[in-house]
Amino acid sequence: MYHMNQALSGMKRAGFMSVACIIIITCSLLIFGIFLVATANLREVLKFAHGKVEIVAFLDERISQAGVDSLMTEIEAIPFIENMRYVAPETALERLKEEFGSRSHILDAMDENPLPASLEITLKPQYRLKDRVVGVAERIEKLHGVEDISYGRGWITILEKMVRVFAIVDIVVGLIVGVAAVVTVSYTVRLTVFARKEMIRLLKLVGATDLFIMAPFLIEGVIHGALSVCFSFLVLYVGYRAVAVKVSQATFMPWEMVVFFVVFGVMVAAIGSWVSVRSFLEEKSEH
Amino acid sequence: MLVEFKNVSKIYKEGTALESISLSVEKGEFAFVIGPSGAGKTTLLKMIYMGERPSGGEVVVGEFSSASLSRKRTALLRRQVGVVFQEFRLLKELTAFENVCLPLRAAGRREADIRKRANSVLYSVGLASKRHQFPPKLSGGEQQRVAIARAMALRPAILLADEPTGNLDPETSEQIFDLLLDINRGGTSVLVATHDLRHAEWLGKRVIKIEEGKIAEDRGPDQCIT
Ligand SMILES: Nc1ncnc2c1ncn2[C@@H]1O[C@H](COP(=O)(O)OP(=O)(O)OP(=O)(O)O)[C@@H](O)[C@H]1O
Ligand SMILES: [Mg+2]
Repeated sequence: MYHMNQALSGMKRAGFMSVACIIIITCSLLIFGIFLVATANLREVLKFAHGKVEIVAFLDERISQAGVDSLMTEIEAIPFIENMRYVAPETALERLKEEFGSRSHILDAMDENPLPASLEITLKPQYRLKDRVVGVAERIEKLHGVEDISYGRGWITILEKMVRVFAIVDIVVGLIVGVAAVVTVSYTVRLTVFARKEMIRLLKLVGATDLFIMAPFLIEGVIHGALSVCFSFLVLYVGYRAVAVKVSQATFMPWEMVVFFVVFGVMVAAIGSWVSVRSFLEEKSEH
Repeated sequence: MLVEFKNVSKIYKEGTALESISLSVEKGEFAFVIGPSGAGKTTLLKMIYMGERPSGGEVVVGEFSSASLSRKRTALLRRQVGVVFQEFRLLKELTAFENVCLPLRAAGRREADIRKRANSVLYSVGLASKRHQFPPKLSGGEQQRVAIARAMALRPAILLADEPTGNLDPETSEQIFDLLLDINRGGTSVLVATHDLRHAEWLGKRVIKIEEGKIAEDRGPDQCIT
């Protein structure tokens, strides 16, 4: 209780310092938060792109319904398959017309549907990797009744490269932004501690233990960190809502990222505070 | 024996501040430490409150020894050793009363006891009426009284004063010396480092003279000036 009082009255006395400290920590956390939200969104985009990975098997015109059924049973037996859909030639034509839109009358000129029936096959998400997709596609191609196969080989290659580049860039940027936040926050906190070095030295001189001296600063660090986390989170969320109005697919941080963000903000401020007080406590000589 | 220096030396990168000092201060003793500027008076006092560790030898203060002193034990030692300085070292953002409360708080006393003790010790230095003033509003002499009250709050076994009258006029200095003698009469050992030879010579107390980090002379109370 005494330490709590001490922390609060210390902050009141530090007044402007405390406010400046919270503003600076809020800004650094905000930048880090923007990075986290950007990461979350890019991940969603990549996940969405991965969802589009599918194998289309075009069927031989001469295959009977029984042939289609046995083919489907055969394909379903392949592991990794998540879902399979039969697309009749009529359905395929409908889709094509939709794509042509206002110019769909061009297609009316045809007296016969030239499109083959097909099977649209998706693999389970964890198997939507290039080698796996190619392997499954080649296996399906060899099956009786399958005339041709298409699975966007080029697209998968690009996508996988993107995922790899993104992972690296994300980690590098994350480290830079994270370290910058840690440095800014700990230096800011250090300034507020520095402003009270007389107090720290004096307490040491009159027989205060390390814990007694550090406790109020630690509490102060936690309060600074928590307030800054709240403010930056609020700004971040309002910003996200503003963007989400225009881009409806935008996502916010997933909850585990939110937990990380809160813990990160509070810990950095508290540890920064702790470390700066320690450095004064460990001064060898009294001045 | 309260304080004992056993062949203590202190060597800084820049040079030697103390060289093979051996001396002891008894419980209830009053002693002056004199000597020219740079002789090592301040360093000698620092050795007692363990503001610095000796480079060689050992300092023993009561149950504490410089040879084995954790940070926690250092804090405990400082509750037994009051220190005042030439420049008072009061926290100017705290009132006189709050300044005096600091050591009591640090020692974990209960709030009611803290208030009682702070009031009584401020009263005994003659500052009861000004206890809610902030230091910048007090005269130099009054500030030094607050500093002394703060040093005495935990009833230390020894009070160290490093040039306590260095910033004060002669008349105020007189009052501060009276206060220190008064405190000593209460049973607290007092060690005063000073340039004020007049007081050191005429009060008839023990005088330890330091020159270039060595004890040049250690004269007992009421001994004739040679
Ligand atoms: N922290 C330090 N680092 C390096 N040298 C120091 C330090 N403190 C003191 N000294 C040196 O040790 C010697 C003794 O210094 P000290 O302060 O003890 O002298 P003093 O007798 O108190 O002098 P004064 O009367 O001027 O206060 C001096 O030569 C000083 O330069
Ligand atoms: Mg000195």
